[in-house]
Amino acid sequence: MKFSDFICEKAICAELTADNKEDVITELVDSLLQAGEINADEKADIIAAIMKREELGSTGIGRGVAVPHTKHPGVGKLVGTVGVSVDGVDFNSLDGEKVQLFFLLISPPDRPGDHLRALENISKQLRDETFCRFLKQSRTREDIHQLLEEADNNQFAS
Amino acid sequence: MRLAADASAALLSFIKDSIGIGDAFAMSSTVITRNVVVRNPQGLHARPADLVVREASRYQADIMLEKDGCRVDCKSILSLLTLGAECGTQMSLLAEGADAEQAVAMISELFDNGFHELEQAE
Repeated sequence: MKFSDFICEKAICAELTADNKEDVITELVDSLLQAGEINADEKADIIAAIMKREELGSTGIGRGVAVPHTKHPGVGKLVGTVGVSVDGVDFNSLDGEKVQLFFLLISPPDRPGDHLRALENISKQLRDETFCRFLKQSRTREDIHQLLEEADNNQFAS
Repeated sequence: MRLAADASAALLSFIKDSIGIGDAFAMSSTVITRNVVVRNPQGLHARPADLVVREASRYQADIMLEKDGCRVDCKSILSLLTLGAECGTQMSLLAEGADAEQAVAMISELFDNGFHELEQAE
């Protein structure tokens, strides 16, 4: 699975303004709402579900990366977005580091395979330090989108 | 008996030294391997991967999972997620080191129990 299969370009957030876990999740979900990927009346429910998942254990998987996610019947297919925080956000990461890169995923309840393939793609690309560094340095939506496209074209991780 | 054991250990040591494989040979002789299957419907997603890392990190042994010839470190969640292992996926669990046997036993138990997700309605 490629980034272009699940990352909504219009919802990509460069220079996130939030500085705590709930706000950053809200900012990213809001961005998916503005992009027309989710319904307004489901926004609060989706944010609550993602926060509930975080309570089971942080999705901050290290290297300054987090993959907050939930299943929700409000989406017909896997949708996701990317956010970059310049200063980083305290996310109770597994390695204790602040998180700069967020990959937020919302998947339909009956499609665990798609969610796994998205995680597989994200983790494979992020193992490449150059991709990780360039993404953290990105300051515009266009830059982030271009990096994701380059990753999709196998210009980073093999 | 002990004399015989000492003698064979000395002989083994002599052979290893003389052909220059030393410790590498000794290490490879303690690799523990077991086949594991992902049993929970959601597969090896972030939470189970976190469970595996937490368990694996308790041991000194090097612990790896191998799928389709691709080997990843069980102490790294980022590595485990690259497997994209769905329900039903078969993999080899390998451990090498002093506590390898216990590590393999405990981690394969996590797989057998479906990472404690089998009883939950998701």
